[in-house]
Amino acid sequence: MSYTHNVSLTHSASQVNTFLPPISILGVGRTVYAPQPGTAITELVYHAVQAALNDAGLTMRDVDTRVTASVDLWDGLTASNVAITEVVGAVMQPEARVAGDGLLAACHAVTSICAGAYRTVLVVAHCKATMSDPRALSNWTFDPIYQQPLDLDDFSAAALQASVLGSLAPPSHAPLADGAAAIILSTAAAPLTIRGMGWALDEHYLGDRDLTDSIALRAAAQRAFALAGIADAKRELECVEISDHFDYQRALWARALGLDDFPKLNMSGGLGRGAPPFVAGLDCLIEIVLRLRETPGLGLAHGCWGPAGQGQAVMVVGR
Amino acid sequence: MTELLKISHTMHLEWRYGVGASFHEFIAALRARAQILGRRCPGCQRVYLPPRPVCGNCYVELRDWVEVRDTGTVRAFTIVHTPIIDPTTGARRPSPYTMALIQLDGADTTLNHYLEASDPTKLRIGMRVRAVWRAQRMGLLGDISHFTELTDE
Amino acid sequence: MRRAAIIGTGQTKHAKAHDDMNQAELVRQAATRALSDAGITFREVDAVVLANMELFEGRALPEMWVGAGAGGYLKPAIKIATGGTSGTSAAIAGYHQCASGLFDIVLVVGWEKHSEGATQTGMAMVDPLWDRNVASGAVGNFALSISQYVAERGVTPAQAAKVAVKARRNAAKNPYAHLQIPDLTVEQVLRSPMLADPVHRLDMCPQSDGACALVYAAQGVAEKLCAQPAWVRAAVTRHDQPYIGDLDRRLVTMRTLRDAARAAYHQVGIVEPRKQIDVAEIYEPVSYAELAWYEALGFCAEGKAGELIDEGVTEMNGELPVNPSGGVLSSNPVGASGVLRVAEAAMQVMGRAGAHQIADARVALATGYGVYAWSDVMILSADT
Repeated sequence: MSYTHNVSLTHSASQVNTFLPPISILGVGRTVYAPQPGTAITELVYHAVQAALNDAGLTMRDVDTRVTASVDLWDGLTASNVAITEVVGAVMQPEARVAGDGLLAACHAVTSICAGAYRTVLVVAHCKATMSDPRALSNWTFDPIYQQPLDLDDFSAAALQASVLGSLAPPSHAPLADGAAAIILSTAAAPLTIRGMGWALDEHYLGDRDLTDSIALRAAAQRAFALAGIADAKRELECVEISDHFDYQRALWARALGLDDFPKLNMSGGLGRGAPPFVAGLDCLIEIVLRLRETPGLGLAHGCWGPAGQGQAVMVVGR
Repeated sequence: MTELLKISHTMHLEWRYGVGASFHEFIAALRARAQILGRRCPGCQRVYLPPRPVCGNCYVELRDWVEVRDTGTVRAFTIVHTPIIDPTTGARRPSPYTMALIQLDGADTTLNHYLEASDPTKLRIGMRVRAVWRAQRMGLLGDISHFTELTDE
Repeated sequence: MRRAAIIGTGQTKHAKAHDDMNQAELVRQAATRALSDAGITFREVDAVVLANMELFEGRALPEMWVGAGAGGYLKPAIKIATGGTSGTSAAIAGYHQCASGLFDIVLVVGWEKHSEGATQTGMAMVDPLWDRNVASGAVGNFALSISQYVAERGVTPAQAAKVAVKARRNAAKNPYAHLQIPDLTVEQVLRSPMLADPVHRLDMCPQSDGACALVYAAQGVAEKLCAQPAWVRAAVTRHDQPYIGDLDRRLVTMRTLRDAARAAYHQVGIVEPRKQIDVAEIYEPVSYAELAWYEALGFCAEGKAGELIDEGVTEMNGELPVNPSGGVLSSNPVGASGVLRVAEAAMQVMGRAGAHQIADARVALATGYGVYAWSDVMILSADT
């Protein structure tokens, strides 16, 4: 089996939109991010959804569809969105469920709005990172033939990546917590709109990757910047929130985004705030929304998932 | 053709499920008093088992508790012959066994549970049944060992 | 907002165990065949949508490993997982991405490799405080609902068996199908071992290893690449409550499928489905379900599904052929099964179904079924 590595990032067809139609962010909501051992996933999700609806001044009746994000093995449930069907209002209604970060779910939600399928979409992500052992869980992400038997997991992969970057100390991981985040996107006019987005998958085998860089993040950012009409990200962006699941990732992702030494990077304090995996990227978007409500401009949210950030997503929002 | 290689992995994972406020009440009542609590929707008046935060049909929060009896009516049944691994023990269940969807008196939803009938040919939708409880209760659905025919109504 | 059409499909042979290919290779084979059918290469693909029920193989985010098989490297790739409807939900997601105006070509690939996991254990990982207690797999759940359907509708085991026979006979014309039994009889179905009353082994779908892919192209591109694209005319999803006991006689009412079909028919202007739909590929994990879906889809009046199969209306040469591919009853790699329904419907509209082609098929219906009662409905047409 061989894969082609020769990928063109620029699009040649004339049909493809070079900008996004106006899609606004009407509301955001989230739980606290902390270990919540007795709380059910349904309760976390319901809380985040209610907060987002209240923030938007909407009711569930106004929502046309939902895109949810969660991962079965992390929830210990098959088709884990079954558990949240009622609290996201999906009974006799449409829902799509993305296995990955909530920011990826938001990107997909935007495409379904652009397709004219729906006007108002609820995006929800949840994860209880403390209900199992993320180290043991993430070992099951690695291909079972070459990498899983090496006992690789998200933490050892990160340590490997940190070592390539010159740090021999084990990287420090953001605190593991439980929580949910929700956001409401709509064609209804509002001050905050989505200007650009991109997502991409990197090579799976760590040995095949240049771990000192993230070309997947570069690819995702290139698409997002092109749609948003951003030529000089460092100068044009007002604020940036990136998913630094491990401490070394802050500089790594910033560099791939062309944002080294960007002053307003992770003003929230980064994932030290506790946003769990798969919720983190959507929570970065919430942080950007809250900041742009105070200060107009362009903001960028970043999410990543999988071994050493194999999956990457970027969204640019403006006011 | 030479036999192709296979690699075997065994999964040992553990999850600690948060039961949430609704189930917490349910479990406490079940354990303390063998009492089955459902929740009534203020919109459609449907009484839900298991209790949950929201009625999916009305999208309203459920707050009112309703006591449901441990007797009920069979709404569906089957005799399972195929070998099934019991996910709570990992062992193969003895088969055949009968399971049913039982609408407990006072509830609007049905409960999927084991049914033991003295004469399997007499199984029918609409038959009346009662819960047979285990001596020790943990606050789980398994505290009901199975359901059996209700003969003395 | 643009129109989008399917311009190519591809699938692996579906089989009990594909020891010859790992998951990424299965996906790559289906994807390569679909791209070849569309006359393009991985290079032309703008975005990838994957579908898989990872807990069946005991994996987390398997698209990390498998995604490259679909050419996902450095491309926008996403995985949809909604139970049995994963494949149809991914087909709808891919349609939305292509119709969004952001991508010209979108590749959708669904796969499952049941032989590498413990499907029954994966399937039993439902609510640990409730349905997990007596979880008895899809067979047990269906058998419960079938007891209600049989009691209300009076369909007979022989009528259900006819559905099973039709599926395996049709599958014999489909080189990719898992169970191909051209001369299966009703008596053989009824004599096969009882899994859970009244479901015999041959009433039930198999577990298969396999993958299926389809290629969407946007209006303006599709016509250039394909002589007869299969245009998406409707795509509707309906989910339902989380516990089996929440659903009132689900096979009798099947409100999600009923409502999704009505919404889809309305969008396309279908008022007499039996006359206006040329061919249907529906997600029937068990023979009895196909009969129930006939009613929910409006192929016949309530309670008349038994007559419909008796009269041969849904046979290959009938008025409304259902599952000429052999359906889920003949091949069931779960994450691919929904993609297969949509791909097979597209093949009919494109005139590329080979030995199981229905002549002059211009309007095709595809459905997805998952969890206890979730439904997807898509309508494809030769006309934009």
